[in-house]
Amino acid sequence: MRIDAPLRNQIVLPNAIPPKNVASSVIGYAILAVFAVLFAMPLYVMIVTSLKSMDEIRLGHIFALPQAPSFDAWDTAWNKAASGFMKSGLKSGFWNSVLILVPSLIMSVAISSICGYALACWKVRMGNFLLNSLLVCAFIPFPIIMYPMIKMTVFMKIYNTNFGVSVVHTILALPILTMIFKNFFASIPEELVKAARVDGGRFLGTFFHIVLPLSPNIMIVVAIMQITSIWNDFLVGLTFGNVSAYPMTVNLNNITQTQTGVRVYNVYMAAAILTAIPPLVIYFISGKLFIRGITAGALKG
Amino acid sequence: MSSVSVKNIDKIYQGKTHVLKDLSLDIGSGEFLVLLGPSGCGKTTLLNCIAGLMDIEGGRIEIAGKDVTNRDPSEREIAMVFQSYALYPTKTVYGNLAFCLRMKKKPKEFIDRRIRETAELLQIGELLHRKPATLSGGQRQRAAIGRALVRDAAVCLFDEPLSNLDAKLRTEMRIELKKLHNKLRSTFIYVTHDQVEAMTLATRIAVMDGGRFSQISSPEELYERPANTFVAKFIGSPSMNFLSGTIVALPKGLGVRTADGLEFDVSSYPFAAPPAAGQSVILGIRPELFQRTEAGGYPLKVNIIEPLGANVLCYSELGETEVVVSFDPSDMAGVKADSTVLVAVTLKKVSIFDAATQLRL
Repeated sequence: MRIDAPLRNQIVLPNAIPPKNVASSVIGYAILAVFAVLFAMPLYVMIVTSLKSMDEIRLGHIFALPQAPSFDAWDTAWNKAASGFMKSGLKSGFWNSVLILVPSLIMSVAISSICGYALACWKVRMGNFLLNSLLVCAFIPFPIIMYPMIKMTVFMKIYNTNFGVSVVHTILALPILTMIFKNFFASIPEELVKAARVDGGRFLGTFFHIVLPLSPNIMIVVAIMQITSIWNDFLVGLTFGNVSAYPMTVNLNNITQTQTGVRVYNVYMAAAILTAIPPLVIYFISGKLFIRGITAGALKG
Repeated sequence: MSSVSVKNIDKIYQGKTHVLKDLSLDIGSGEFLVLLGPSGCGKTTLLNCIAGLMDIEGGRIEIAGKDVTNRDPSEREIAMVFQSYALYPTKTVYGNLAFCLRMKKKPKEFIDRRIRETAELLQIGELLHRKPATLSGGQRQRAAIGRALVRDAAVCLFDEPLSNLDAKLRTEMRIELKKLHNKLRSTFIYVTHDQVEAMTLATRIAVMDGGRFSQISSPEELYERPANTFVAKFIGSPSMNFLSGTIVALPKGLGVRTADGLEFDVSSYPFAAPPAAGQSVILGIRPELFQRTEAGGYPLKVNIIEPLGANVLCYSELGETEVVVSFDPSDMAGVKADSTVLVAVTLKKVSIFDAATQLRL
């Protein structure tokens, strides 16, 4: 019952079916190309618009390439754009998002992995009841529990702080993450945990020395899920965050919504792209690891 | 003086399935005790209970004189070898061996010295830096045994450790285990369903059936004097032949008469208590207790002949009962299938069981 390293790292893809004739493959590629263009179109428009001047934008040729590409709009969006009462651009929102993301990522992964490990590898009294409760909790929409949670965070004196937003993110993620970890750890051979117990490993010793080294893939999957969902969150940041320290998404919304006078589309576009970059970077860096991690549930020696 | 003492333990799964029923067993220091039984008899459950990996619903377990019934496995001074080896896949063999010593916070030099000693004992010195996935079955087996021995525990538990090896390797490892036990003289408790392993390794065998001990005794005793028909049938291959009959008084003394009229003189049989005439009994005769004879024997109708080299097995009929008989090859020269030969039975060595209780008389 060992875990075969080469086997684990290999993703078995279904064999590509050879096209019957050239025509069908041409049609196939054509359809794919159309969809690819449709999906890429908004991004293209955003990029070219962000590089144009306002005069050029007013001409209305949204697909035209910029005549004199300039990063002025990006500079404005990052450093100077007005959001609410402040004119400090997106960069304060970026750092607020980082300050929210890091603690909530660490807390949610740490707590849910240990809970999942306890439920999967140890006998927990009423473990099944707990698991079913988690399942129910995972499907309760956030707006329903928003108000009670605001009251609770006020009581805990963390309302209107970045840390408070982190705590809320952690709590909201716990049910689903715990179930993901529980299912992954349940695939670890039972005898490994038994052997570790006989060898003197206690609850945490077994977790850190035996179980965790087997789990880098699932850790990466969960980390990516958390980074994207926390970074892209708007509602939690808006309702629990500090008025003077909103996360980047709320910041972006304020830039684009509260402007009076001229609507500076080039700045809006630049700001939107800037906000979307971090999760995109995470995906590009770890896309391969992500797929590997998703298929890693099938590991069995 | 380290020994294991199991006192009246009960194991009940989910309040319904009674797996171990009031078991008691004392294992002396340095013993090699084998728990033997068919699958589902509770032998692995008993081992897990001794290890502390399962809670028990009743009774006490003592190891080295200390009551460990409610102790964690790590506090029980035990080591265990698992059927799947359960080597930690992310650690090297060295790391696997070091884990339990590190958990006990032993000094580095001590850990290193113990691992070198153990590796030398098991000849796995060259494997220490390798990961389990790169080892062959036999090498993994050695590493798993090494992990159990490195800590010098009072009791070593083995859960069918050889069942994943091929036949040749299994025989080799069996002999090595026996040598190891002779050298170390620690207490071994070993679970298997393979009677050959049990007979060759054990100083004492506990045969289990349906959550109870059927018989606990030395391998020889188990084979020569099985306490009941279950043990008689389970031990020995091919298994013991059973003939039903009744106790009758023959001119020479007590005898057993079968339904089809065959009479066996059992006057020399050491009955535990004198049987009553007319009592229904089962006569158990091992396949090798039959010999060819010229005159005055029982007619044996030979149906199928299996020459195995060292001996010849004959699937045959004695009266109306099907029996398996093992002959010396020289006795069977020229005998064809579907013929009848005359056989004598070494009646001193037969077993007689009460038909009602299935217990040895």
